[in-house]
Formats: sequence, structure tokens, C-alpha cells
Amino acid sequence: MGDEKQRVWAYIDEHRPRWLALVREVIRRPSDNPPGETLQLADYIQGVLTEAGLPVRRFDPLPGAVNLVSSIGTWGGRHLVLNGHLDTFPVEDPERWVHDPYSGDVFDGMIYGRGAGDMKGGTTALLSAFLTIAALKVPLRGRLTLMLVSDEETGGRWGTQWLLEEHPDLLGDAVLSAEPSTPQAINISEKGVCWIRVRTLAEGGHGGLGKISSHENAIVKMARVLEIARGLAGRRGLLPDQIAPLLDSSRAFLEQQPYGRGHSWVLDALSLNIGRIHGGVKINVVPVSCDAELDYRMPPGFTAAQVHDLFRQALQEAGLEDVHSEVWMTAEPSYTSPDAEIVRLTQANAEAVTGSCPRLQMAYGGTDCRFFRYRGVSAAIYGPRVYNMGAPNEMITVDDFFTVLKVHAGTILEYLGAGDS
Amino acid sequence: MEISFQGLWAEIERRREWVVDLCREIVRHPTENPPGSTISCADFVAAQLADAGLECHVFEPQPGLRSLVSSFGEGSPHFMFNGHMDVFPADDPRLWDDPPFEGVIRNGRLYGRGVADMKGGFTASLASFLLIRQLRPRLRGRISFMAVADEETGGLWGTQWILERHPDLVPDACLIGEPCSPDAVRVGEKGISWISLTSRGRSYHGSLATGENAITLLAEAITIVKGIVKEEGITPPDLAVVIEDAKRHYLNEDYQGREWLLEHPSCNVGVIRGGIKANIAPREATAEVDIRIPFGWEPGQTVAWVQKQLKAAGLDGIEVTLVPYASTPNYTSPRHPFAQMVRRHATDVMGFPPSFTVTTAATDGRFFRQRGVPTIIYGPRPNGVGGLNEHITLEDLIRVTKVHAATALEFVDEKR
Repeated sequence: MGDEKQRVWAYIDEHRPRWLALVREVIRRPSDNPPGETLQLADYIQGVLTEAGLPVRRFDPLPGAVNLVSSIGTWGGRHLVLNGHLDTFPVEDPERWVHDPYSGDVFDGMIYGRGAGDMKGGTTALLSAFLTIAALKVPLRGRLTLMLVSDEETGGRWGTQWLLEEHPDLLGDAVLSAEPSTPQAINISEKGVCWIRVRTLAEGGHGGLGKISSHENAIVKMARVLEIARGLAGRRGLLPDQIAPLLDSSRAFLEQQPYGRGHSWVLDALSLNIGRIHGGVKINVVPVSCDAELDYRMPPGFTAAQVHDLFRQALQEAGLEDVHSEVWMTAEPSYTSPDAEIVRLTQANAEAVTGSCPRLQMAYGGTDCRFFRYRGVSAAIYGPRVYNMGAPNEMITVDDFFTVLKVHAGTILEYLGAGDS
Repeated sequence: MEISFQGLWAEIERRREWVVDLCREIVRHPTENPPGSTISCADFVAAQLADAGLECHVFEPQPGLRSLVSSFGEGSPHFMFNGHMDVFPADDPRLWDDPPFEGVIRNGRLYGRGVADMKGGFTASLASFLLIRQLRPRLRGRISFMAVADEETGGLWGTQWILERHPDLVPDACLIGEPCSPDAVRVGEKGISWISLTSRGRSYHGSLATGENAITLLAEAITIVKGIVKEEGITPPDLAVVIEDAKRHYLNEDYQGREWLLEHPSCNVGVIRGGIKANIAPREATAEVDIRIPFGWEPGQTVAWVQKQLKAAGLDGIEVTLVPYASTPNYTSPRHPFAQMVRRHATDVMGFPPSFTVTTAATDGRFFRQRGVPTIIYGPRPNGVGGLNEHITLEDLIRVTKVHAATALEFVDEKR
């Protein structure tokens, strides 16, 4: 197997310009979500796979949001799934980007663009590993599935979740994801999500009446609700035993990251983003309604229902029980055992490629891996370090891209016992 | 003198149904502002005028913002009715007990968006104008009816636009049927100072957030800004009695317990917008605040006050700007003969002398007062203005029509 792996890594190295061109082409096809249309990008990747002689299945339960699935190897043995998403965060203000967000410019060792880190770099690394193993006709003792989905950024309902519900054969025995982690870390635990829509109602009236109390003005009432919502941020629960030991190192690691400095408290506590507020129709009308969208993230040990209960309880204590709230998107926290085979193999391959053993880590962002974990399948996340995630000038390093590509290729070979005869 | 005021009022009683139907027809034109189009309503009014053999000049300085003026008689004195056709947005019509643009009548009340502000008073003016025309008294002067758009969003394309370009239309006195209450004659109003607050932040992934961001800082600022209602104004001497009086009989249920508004700024946080998506920290959030300033204040003072308070709270990162739509508090002295004339007719119609008052909401009356025109507001008692189930009583509609008709007639009629 050692020879086989060296052959695969050598092939990857020899074809570096091809993989780099591939990631640029992927970034050049906008797939902002919202709106979430990935047609152009999916068509392109489907073309690449078809050109390589690989079978592609295409599903778009949500028109325009395409999911692509391609499998190679032998059926009946173990089954490894490579999971990546095609959609990205939207570009809010293109003028603040130094490079065009859809240029895929490579400059000074960095790959720039919307989704470079989350997760077009990682998705392309998985695609490249898959193409390499197919091109070299590496004999696999099992099935390898490349699953590229849409609708990850808005909840996964029409992507990974839909595929696993409608096509249970795609569940696999283990999952590899290339969501951003940094080459020095493997994420095996992630927080859950509880999105709450809040609506305040008030009596309204003419703007000249001085109606400034909560029961009169829905925006004033919402200001109180937001204050109460913030009171829950930072709340901690009890971490499960298997991952509790990872907390300190995960925190220390996050603190060293450019995006994580000062934020490591989120790993085992409730975070809160009030992402949107919309109230009133006109400056001189007392608003009768105001809407806000809250995004709570809870560590393992909490459930979404518990978070909403805490929120309701806090509202009640403040005398605001008449405020409407609706949980409209949830993801329960999930984790994979540090002892899972896919985790150990990823760790070993990362050490072989980078020279140092990556730590196992708790992550704060949600990924589609949870849909596999909910169904008892182990998942390891190993991806590039991302700079400016979700912000202008998102980028990753070229080096990280290749490290991730090689580690995944090596892990695939070992998990599927390639050449192990 | 062809008919007495008593005769005029009897005529109005006989045509009660016509007045009510006219009002319902006008309510049925949904002139919500925004967007503010008054085309269908203006055309309906023009058709009513045409039926009475009256021509009108139509103005439409911005697409959809159609206003018109119609006159008969000539020379001076020149009396004018002014009223606006645009109304507040109805918000969600499902929240209303009745559809907001049908003009439903129940228990002697007429319901609909804008019926109080101000299609009821508008109808009283229009009906008076048509009636006087029909009864054809020999006029000593000229009487005009000005129906405008764009009052609810500032009047710059309605009354202000017309008066600025047509100085010949600046009258000797103006009566406006804005909501007030038939037992009060409104001589003045507070000023307007609209401000906008902008809070800026950095956009990043929501999973790292503590809850503090551009939106929540803005929410904190709002809580501070509404403290402006504790500040005080300075009342001019000839209004002192009026304000004391107004405080004692404050005018309708909407205003109960709100006497303080007469001497303090009011504050309405009318609009807030921020962020694009639940899981992205918002880059910007803005709020629009409507502050009505009491006598003695100038519009710019509010900005300075808010900036000072925000600074003290460590929120000076929030940008405060004055919306270029502002007015200084203004009034017509209650001692002016025209104010006395309106009051006399109101006394006869109501059976007791109504009080003079000043109120908090701005009207297009300010554009006339700025030009030295004595301007009085006399209109029905409003219920639910800007909120749900807006309505007036039919009784108020008729009373206001009587006072409008009598005032116009006295102002322009031959000397008795």
C-alpha cells in the first residue's frame, strides 16, 4: 500500500497546475446562497467528471440547487463518502474585495475568492482526490462516493439530508469532509444550531403621539427582546465525556487563528448572532410589528429545544411572554469518537504529509457531517485554514489546498484498503 | 346673502347621505403612501368637480403624485380649502376587522385607512365647496379647493410645490380638515425633526458572535434616544392659555394621558432595518426616528442632543443625521379674526364654544403659515390613525362639513 500511496501523491504533485486550475474554475462560478442556485457550477463539475469517464447522478429536489453523486470501486465492502458543498455565503459588498470575489485569483501563494475556504477549496480537494484515484485506476476494496451538495449554507435540507433520506445507500460507513479546519487539526465535534424568528407586536398608531413604550411600539419592544436574547449568550452546559478532554486544546488552537482570537469561549457556550432585523413601515407610523432572526449555536450537551425553552423562560421572566418566537431551523450538536478509524487514519496521513500530528478538535461551525453522525456514521473533517471566512477577501493558501488534497487521498486509500492484497 | 347659515346646515342635513357616500367613495381609492400614488383619487375628485361644472388644474410634479386645484369667483378675499389624499399604509389588511379600503359603516362609524387622516375632513371640504358652488351665492371673492398628494411624506411635491410655483394660489385664509375634533379649533402645531441612526459593524460568520453587533448597538441607541421626551420646550405668550387649555381637555382617546406632548418632544422609532441573514453578523443597521419638537425648538437641536447622549453611553460610533424634511413649530394666533370666525361657527354647530388647541402632528398648514396665511385646522375626531381599524363617526363628518361650509361662505360671501 505504501507504493500505491506514493504513486497517488506523486500524481497529485505532477498535476499541480491542473488542480489549481480546477479550484479557480470552481470559484469562478458564483453559487451565493441565498439565492442558492448552483446550476452553472454543477454543470461544470459534472462535465469534468463525465470527461474523466466517471458516472454522475444528478439530483435537484430544489430546482437550481444541484446535488451531484459519483461512485467508483467495488460494492459490497465498506463504503467511504467524500462530502463537500457547492454553495457559498453571499457577497455582500464586492467593492471591499481587493480581488474580484469570483476571480479565483492566485496571488502570492493565496487563493482568493468567495468560498475559497468555505468550502470550494476543500470541495475541489475532494474532487481532485477522487479524480486522481479514478485516473490511476487504484484498485479499491470498497466503494468510494463523491457527494457534492447544494443548500449547505441554508440548512442542508435539500442537499445532504435529502440525499440520505431518499437514497439510503449513500450513507456509507464513514465520511470525510474538507470543511475548513486547518491542516493542524481534525474537527470531530461541532455545535448545533437553533435559528429563532422573533416577532413583536404592538398597538401602533400615529408617530406624533409619543408612543415609546413596549406595548405601543414593536421596535421598542424588540429592543428589549434583543437585550434578553443576549443574556443567554455565553451560557454553558455539560460537555459529553468523549470530547470534554478536547476543550482546552481546542480553545488554545482557536485563539491562535486569525479569525478565532478572542472567540474561543464559543466552543462550549451558547453563541448568538442577531443577523437580521426588520420593523415598521414608515418613520412617522408607530410600528405594529418587528421581526428579528436569531442564530444561537449550542455545544454538545444542549438540544435545540432546550435553547428555545431557555429563551421563552427568559422572555417570561421579563414579562414578555406575548412575544412570538418560532424555531425555524435547527441542527443538533454532533460528534464522532476520537477513536473512530476514519479519525485515526486522517490523523496518520496528515502527520505523514505535514510532519506533525494534527490535534483533534471541537469546532464551532456546523457542517453536513452531522447528518451522517445522526445516523451513526463517523465523520472526520480536515480542511484548509480559511482567512476572512464569510467576509470580504476570503482566501486560503495554495499550500493548504495541496496538503488537504494529499491527506484525503492517502486516507481514502487506507480506509478502502487499496492495494492491500 | 342668498341663504343663511341655518339654511346651509339644513341643506347639509338633507344631503347627509350624499356626504357620507362621497367619503366612502374617496376611502375606496387606496392612496397608501408609500408608494403614494393619488391618481385614481384625484381623477375621482376631478370628475366630481366636472359634474358641478368646475374645471381644475392638475399638477403631477412626480409620477403618480397628482394634485389639483379648483376655484370659482374671483379677486379677494381668497379663501382656500386644503386637504391631502394620500394616507398611511394599511399594514397587514388581515389584522383589520374590516377590509381597510371598503369604507364599511358600523354603529354610526365609518371605517377605513385614511378616513380620519384625512379623507373625512377632505370630504367635508369637498362637499362644502360643491355645495356652495351649487347654491350659487354671489361671491364677494374667490374660493378654492386644493387636493394634494405627498402630505404623509413631507408635502414637498404637494402643497409646498404648488404654492412655490403659483403665488397666485396663496390665499387670504386657509381651512384644513385634518383630524382634530369638532370641539376644538386647532391653531398651531409642533415642528418636525426626523433623524436617522446608522450603526456599522464588521460582517463575519454568526457562529462566533457574542450577541453584540450593529443591530444590538442600534437597539441600545434606540432605548437612549427615546429619553428625549423628557426635554422641554418654551411656549410663546399668546399660546400659553391655549396650551393650558389643550392640556385640560385633551382631545381624543388616542391622546389621553399624552398632554405632555404639548410641551415636550415626542419620539417615534418608526423603522428599523439591519442585516441580511440570520447567520451573518450585520454590516449595517439603520433606524429612522420621528421627533416632533415643541415650541421653542429648532429641528437641528435634536441631532445635537442625541449625539451627546450616545457619546455619554459610549455609542458615539453610531451616526446621527437630520433627514432633510424638517419644520419649525408654527401657529396662527387664536386672536386672529379668522380663528375667531371658525370658532364661532363651531360654537353654533356644537352648541358650546370649542377650545383652541395646538397639536403634535404636522400638517400642510405649515406651508401656508410660513407665507403669512392665517390657517386653521378643523376636522373630525380621529381613531386608530396609523394603526388598525381607523374610523370616524358619521356625526363628526357632518358637523365638520357644516363648519367648513359656513366658514367658507362667510369669508367670501357678500357683506350682509
